[in-house]
Amino acid sequence: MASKDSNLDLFVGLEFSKRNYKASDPQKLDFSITNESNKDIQVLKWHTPLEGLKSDMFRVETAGERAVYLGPIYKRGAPTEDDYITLKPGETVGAKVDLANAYDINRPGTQNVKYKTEHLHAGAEEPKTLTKSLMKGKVAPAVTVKSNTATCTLVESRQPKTLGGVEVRLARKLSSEKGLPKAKAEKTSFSSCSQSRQTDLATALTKAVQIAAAAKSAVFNASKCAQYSAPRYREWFGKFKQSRYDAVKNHYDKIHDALANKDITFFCDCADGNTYAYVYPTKPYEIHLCGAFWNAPMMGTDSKAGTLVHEMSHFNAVAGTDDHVYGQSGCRNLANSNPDDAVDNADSHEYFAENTPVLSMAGSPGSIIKVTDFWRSMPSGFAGSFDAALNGGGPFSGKCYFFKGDKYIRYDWANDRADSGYPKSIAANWKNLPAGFKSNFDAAINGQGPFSGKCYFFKGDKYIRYDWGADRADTGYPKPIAGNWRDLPSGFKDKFDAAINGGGPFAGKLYFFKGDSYIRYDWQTDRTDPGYPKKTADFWSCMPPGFTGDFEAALEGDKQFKGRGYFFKGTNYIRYSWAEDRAEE
Amino acid sequence: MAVSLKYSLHGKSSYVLGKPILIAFDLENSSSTDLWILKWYTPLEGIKGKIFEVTCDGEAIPYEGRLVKRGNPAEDDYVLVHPGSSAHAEFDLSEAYSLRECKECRLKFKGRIHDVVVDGQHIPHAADQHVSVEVPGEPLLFRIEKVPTK
Repeated sequence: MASKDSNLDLFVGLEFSKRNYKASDPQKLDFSITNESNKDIQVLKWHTPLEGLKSDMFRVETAGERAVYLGPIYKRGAPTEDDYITLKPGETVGAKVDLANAYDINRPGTQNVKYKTEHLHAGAEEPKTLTKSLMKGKVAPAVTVKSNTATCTLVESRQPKTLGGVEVRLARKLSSEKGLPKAKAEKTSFSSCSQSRQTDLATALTKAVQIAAAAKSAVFNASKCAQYSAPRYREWFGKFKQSRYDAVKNHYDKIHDALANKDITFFCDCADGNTYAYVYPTKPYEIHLCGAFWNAPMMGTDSKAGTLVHEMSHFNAVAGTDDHVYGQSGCRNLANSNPDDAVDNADSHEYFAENTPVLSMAGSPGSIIKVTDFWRSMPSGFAGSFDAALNGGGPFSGKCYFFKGDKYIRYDWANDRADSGYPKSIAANWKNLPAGFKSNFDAAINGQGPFSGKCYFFKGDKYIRYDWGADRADTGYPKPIAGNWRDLPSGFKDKFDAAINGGGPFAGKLYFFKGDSYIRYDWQTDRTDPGYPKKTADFWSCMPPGFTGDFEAALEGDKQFKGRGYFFKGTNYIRYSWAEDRAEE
Repeated sequence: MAVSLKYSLHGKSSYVLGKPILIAFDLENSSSTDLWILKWYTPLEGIKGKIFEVTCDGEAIPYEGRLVKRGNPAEDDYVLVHPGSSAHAEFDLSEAYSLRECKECRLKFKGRIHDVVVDGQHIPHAADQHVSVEVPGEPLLFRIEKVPTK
């Protein structure tokens, strides 16, 4: 392990106790520091396992994704001489830590673990001199440090860790470099605060960073479905609107950043027993604590940690919130009656972050509905299990058609009921259909853009085109799907389950579904968009269990149902809102 | 609850920049019962929140005063107002806003009273039992000048 690099002062060695770990195993990592130089070196034990795993000192990656650190975070002043250890030339010190305890390592696979050498503070000088340079903000070591990467394999999934009821997963969007709680030798100042109050405040701040990080993680990692429907967001911020949701994201990003990274000054200068705290919005990051604060619990409703979130949100440099209303019931009412004010209300941010009582940030799936409950007068044999569904075009606008076997029925959107006199024979009523295309279609879709006025029927690896105006199939068909529908990815050249045209923000696109996947086709460019197929469950929000694939038919809503997409399977269907981009409840 | 309240703001037509900008606030009980008014976040306790909208020639002036997080009020955080009479308070606007010279300074109280209790009921209410009332009233317009006009 020892390096032969003559310029090297310290070598940090990392080695796992074994190669493969099971979910229930601790992941013991051997950490060692060797003095490779020919002089004594002082090493600050902070941010090293020599004092335990007390800060985010490792980069733990599985398949390029960083595991979130969930261990303690200490806010510290200046180190004392005892915090240093002297390493003689050639001397090695070490410690073992359990990574699985402090990091949310839940995905199976190979893990690469690196030590953040930039956090190591060491030098040949006296501890006093080193402390001085550390306090000046010079964290990087004045000595050269190298380290290796330790590798091991987690052979099975581990239960993800949670924070405030939320799975933290790899909060990579936020954690990229500065997001989640990290150790920082930030200076917290106190004015008129006793030693015990300083201790209280240090704990409260640590907890505030944690709940702010959890709140941030909750809003940043919410699926689209969750953004619309998660009880936790709804409770405190009300009905979803993109601009409001974005504001809340921005607020927690800044609140968390300020709590974790900014120099905060606490003033214990206000005795009022009915008041928790106050700030001046133009004076970041000065927080005045009052009588009620000291009696508040550390965590939970109107807690010390939550109060710090509240106060931090007030600064114009942070979220610039107001106190429109206070108290949980006031905030719940505000979320209902005036969500614009709720996202500008400090207590709403506090309660969301405190998350007491615990509410879920998970979305509610869309509803599965029986076809015959809402599609009226469906004739017998047409209660579900359709082959394909299609809106009428040209002279047949305002109608839609359901195909099954060699028969079809017609539905009237305006009347919202099936027309009488059906089912009828496909072969006898859809004219000029070529042989083999008179029954059992896979999917059907209306052309758009350059292909308006036509509709297409798919079956196996072929398709035909029908002209609504002429009310007959165009000649020259069937043709092979492959080649005529361009850039179809492999596996998507035949046997579609269903097809639907996008609406709202997705207008001009056509979606083909097959199994658990889908592709997107652009009518204008007449090509498949790149990047497909994708998993339906990953990109169609709030799809309920059992409705993430293997659809039998899909149909665009018309008239009073415009803006909706309908997906049919068996005797059930779901409705998808294009505007909200989710399956509706 | 037959609560009827209205507020009014009174002041001079012109103030001198750098001197206190004293303004009077009255909250009138126009209902027929005695009302206990929670003074919190109203000018009756001074300026302790973003309770006003202040514009100077159309441009918003940011609030620089305290934003206070409260627990539960005490009895003396309420003031009793008889029918037909008013609760009165004066405040110095310049304590919470960095004002500047302007032809038309417009001061509007946002009008929210956080708890109003009909006399006879127990006060104080715990914060979670508060019933807020939106109170109507007119904004106050005045000039702010660098030197007093002759």
